[in-house]
Amino acid sequence: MRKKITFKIALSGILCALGLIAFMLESLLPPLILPGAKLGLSNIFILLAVVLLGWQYAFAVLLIKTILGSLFSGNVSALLYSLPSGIIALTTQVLMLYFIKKISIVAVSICGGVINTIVQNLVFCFVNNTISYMAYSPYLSLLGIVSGAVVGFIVYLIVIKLPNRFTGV
Amino acid sequence: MNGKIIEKIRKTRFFSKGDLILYSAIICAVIFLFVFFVFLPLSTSSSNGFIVTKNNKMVCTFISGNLTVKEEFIPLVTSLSTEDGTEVTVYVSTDKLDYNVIMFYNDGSAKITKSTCSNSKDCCYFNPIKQSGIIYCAPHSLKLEPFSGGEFLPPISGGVS
Repeated sequence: MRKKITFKIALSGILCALGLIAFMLESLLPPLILPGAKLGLSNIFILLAVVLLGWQYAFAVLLIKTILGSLFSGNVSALLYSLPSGIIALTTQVLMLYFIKKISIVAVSICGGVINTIVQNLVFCFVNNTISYMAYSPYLSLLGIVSGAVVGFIVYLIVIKLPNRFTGV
Repeated sequence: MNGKIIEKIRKTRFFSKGDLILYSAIICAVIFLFVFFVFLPLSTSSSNGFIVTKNNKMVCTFISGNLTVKEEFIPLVTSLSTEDGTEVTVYVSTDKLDYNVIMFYNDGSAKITKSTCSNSKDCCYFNPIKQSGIIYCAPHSLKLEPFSGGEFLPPISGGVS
């Protein structure tokens, strides 16, 4: 039992580190088409944490990655927008994975991507008391669909290729 | 519990029947966003200028080619006429180390062209705005949006300044 918990803690640490590296690499690249739009590759590791370790570890990975990523990239104000959207998107993904029987990981990831962008825009509009910024939300949602599909596909490939000693199946 | 999720992922592959309902919901949401936040504002907007605000306080307005700077921000704003339009620099503080450069083009559009905000400088990548849209620099709390003149009313509810 203790070995299992130790394994999970170690794996969540690795996923957190990989997520941070992906986040930092993305922050060096220029925005994708629209300002604030990123590839979202760090979400691969958060979704993997949900699948391999469970929702508790996934939330821990998300919190640590988001807080440390904002500190390391020097954009602490972004934490105000990315943390609530990340938590809500991850909650939705966890609920869908655990309670909906006939759903694919790609659809879960796409849904998470869209919710992430919409919630971020809503938080931005609430903080700055302007609804004008919602004009970018449909374009960012379309990018969220593409990024969610890529993330879901990569997570699917990892899950089918991982040996059973990692998945516990 | 996780073993069941992994088995489910391996069985369902890329597509499952439940995905159809989700994808249709997402498409409806995107269409709703386009109609209410892109097409409708475009058809009803009638602004002929821009307003620059910092922490929800008016800094300056640019209406019909005329720049008007609020008295308290005069030390922090400089302007320069160029071939393409009017270039306005808004400094964050009197030490003039951090700034945003806003370009008001002759064709009636505006955008932030330079900034010292953060590594990613997201505000510089916004497309020029004309009669709708908003450009925001979060680290400097600077907003550029269309304005048709009249009294500027700051937001009533709190928010974070």
